[in-house]
Amino acid sequence: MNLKTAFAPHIRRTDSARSVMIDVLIPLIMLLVVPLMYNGARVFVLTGVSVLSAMIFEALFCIFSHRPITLTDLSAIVTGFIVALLLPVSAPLWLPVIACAFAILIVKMPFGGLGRSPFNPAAAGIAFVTICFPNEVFRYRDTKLISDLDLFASPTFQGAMSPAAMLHSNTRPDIYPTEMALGNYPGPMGTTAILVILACAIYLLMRRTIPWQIPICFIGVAALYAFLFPRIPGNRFDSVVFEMLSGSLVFAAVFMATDPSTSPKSNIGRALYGVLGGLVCMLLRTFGAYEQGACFAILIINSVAPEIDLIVLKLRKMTGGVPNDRYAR
Amino acid sequence: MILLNNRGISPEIKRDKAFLRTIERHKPRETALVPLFTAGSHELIPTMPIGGTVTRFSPMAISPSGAHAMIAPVSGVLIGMEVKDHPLLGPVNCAHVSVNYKLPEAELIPHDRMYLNGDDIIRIARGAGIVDEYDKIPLYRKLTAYRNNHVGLLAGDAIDDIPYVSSGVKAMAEYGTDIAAGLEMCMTAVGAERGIIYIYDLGGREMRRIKNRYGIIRVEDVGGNYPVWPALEKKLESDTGFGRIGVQALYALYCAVTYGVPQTESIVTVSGDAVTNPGNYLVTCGTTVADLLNHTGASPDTSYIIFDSVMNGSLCTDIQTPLFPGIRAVTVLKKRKTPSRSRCIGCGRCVSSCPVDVQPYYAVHAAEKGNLELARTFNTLSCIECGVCSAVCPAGREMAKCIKMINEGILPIQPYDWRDDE
Repeated sequence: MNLKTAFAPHIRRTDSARSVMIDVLIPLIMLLVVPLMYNGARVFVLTGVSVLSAMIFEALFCIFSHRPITLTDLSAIVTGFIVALLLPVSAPLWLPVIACAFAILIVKMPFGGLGRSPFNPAAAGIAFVTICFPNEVFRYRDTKLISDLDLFASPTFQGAMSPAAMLHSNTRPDIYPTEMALGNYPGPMGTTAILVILACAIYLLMRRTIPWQIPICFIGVAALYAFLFPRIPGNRFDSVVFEMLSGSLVFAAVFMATDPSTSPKSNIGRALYGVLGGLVCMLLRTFGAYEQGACFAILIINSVAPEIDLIVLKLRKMTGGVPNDRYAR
Repeated sequence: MILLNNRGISPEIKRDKAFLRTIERHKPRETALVPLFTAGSHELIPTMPIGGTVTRFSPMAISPSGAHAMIAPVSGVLIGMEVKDHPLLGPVNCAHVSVNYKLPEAELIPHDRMYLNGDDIIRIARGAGIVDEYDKIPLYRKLTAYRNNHVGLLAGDAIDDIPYVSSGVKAMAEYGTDIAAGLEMCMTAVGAERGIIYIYDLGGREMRRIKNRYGIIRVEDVGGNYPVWPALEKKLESDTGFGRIGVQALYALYCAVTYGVPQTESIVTVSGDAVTNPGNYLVTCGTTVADLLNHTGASPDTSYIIFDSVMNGSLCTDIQTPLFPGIRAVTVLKKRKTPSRSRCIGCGRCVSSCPVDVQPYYAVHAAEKGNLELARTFNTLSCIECGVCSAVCPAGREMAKCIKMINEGILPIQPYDWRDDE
């Protein structure tokens, strides 16, 4: 017998950093199905360009900063996917490249890469291109058009108004909510099919890859806000339905707010973070300059995430929830 | 059943073959290696010269002051002394005894329970050398402390919430009545009004049989994630204080009072993927790990032998290490399943799964930057060393070890940051 030594515990969960990323990638790939049905193979081209550019930028940064290349943790692929899914399918192919360059080279890698960046790289990349190229980011194609998009060239077409833009100008979208739930309306590529996103959320929750507190509180508070302060005239419940179904709110709540490295770590902190996220997102939608506020909301709440954990710990110590040094030996 | 919705991790292996088999007695075959220690003293001197006869149940070593004595667990001939570095006891003097079961044993003096008061019971617990198997504290010290603190509820502890371990529940299955009587004696000693035995629900038909009521003692089963105790403590705290005593210590107290037998044996779960015949064994003090594994059968490519808990127990690196009452499980593994080590990905699982609200993520990050004062503000002094934070870490980092180092005032250095990794 060759007896070895090691630190306890001797039984551990075997999911590694990579398997966590694979768990996120599977639903992201599923999200491509609906846009593929409506728009054809350009979906693959846009996503491929985005993912490839994210990987190349990360590899280049690692090479020039003399670090081991960290592509094996698959986080760059996730960032590339989320960037592509938040852009319209008709976006020129240089748009995801610029978004990924900002996300990887400015926001993610200089801070130390996966797990160290204080902001969600994909949200930052999208926010950057939203500010710099709003015309390209918000130029949607009507899904009723039958012709497939050209695979590589920037297509020319009459831009359609998305439900989020209609809500922003306080008009009621002329689309049935059932159509919207199936993703058949102009909007960012991966964020329109709400039913698929919800199925993905259930998968991620079952796998315990994402905590339930963040998406539930995020969406719940946003819905409450939409009920209390409707932007469109008429029924308050209509306001809730249209606000939830339009734009990237649900996508951001499920895939971006739950990014583990930029969100709070304690359970109560996560709930507070979700509440804050939903509130900021709806405020940005109502009073912001752009029709979509989810990415900016994610960046704003990212900046307070560590403080939320500290405040929660202090409050629990004050109220006696934490057995303060009781077990000290 | 108390189903706790607590944090921690779910124990993956709840029922295994060890739980299904009846308790088997295992005695040392030819030689025993008896660690000379008692609850009070580690520096014991043998009462007989080398070559002298050891008589079972008679003092075989005493402390220099004469206040503490070690009771011989076997009869035989003392053939030598050796200092062993024991993973649980530290360096300890051990006596090699050539076992001879034909030699006589010392006469035992039973006590009549009716005429015993609290002081008598504590004195008997001390004389019998009874150790609590869950925290390794001598029973007499625990009883004295509980009596001084006017504890109202005594909890018998048979919570085997750790994978592979079933000795506590198994002891309840076989000696339930005796353990309940032992708890009643403890209640007399402490002056407590209520006594409950908590068992961990391992499932199956046998559990229903154990969940009996023994006179004034209730048995309650508990379900939930490992570790159960922090959440259970919160439930019990509303009472007028509570004390916690392991069921094997209770059984030993019952035997010490009723038959006058000192604690020289304990039930040990031998389990793990490298064991041929996993089961619960009644093991005599002084049996070596090699002797026990000879009996149970172990794979030649065994790599890890773990005393007590696989979550926070000690590793045994010398197969000639002796067992003593207070060890409740020996887990033998071929290999450990661990995630590949990488740098922290900031997932926060260590924080959200900690049962006592330590924030290992922030504490370890602060300590890695050299700020121990800041690290301790993240509640690290509450740590109960359950090991859950390390077990859930997808990057395979030693969070539990780091928290322990922070509490000891040592700067933890994670040797697998990105510079060294890959």
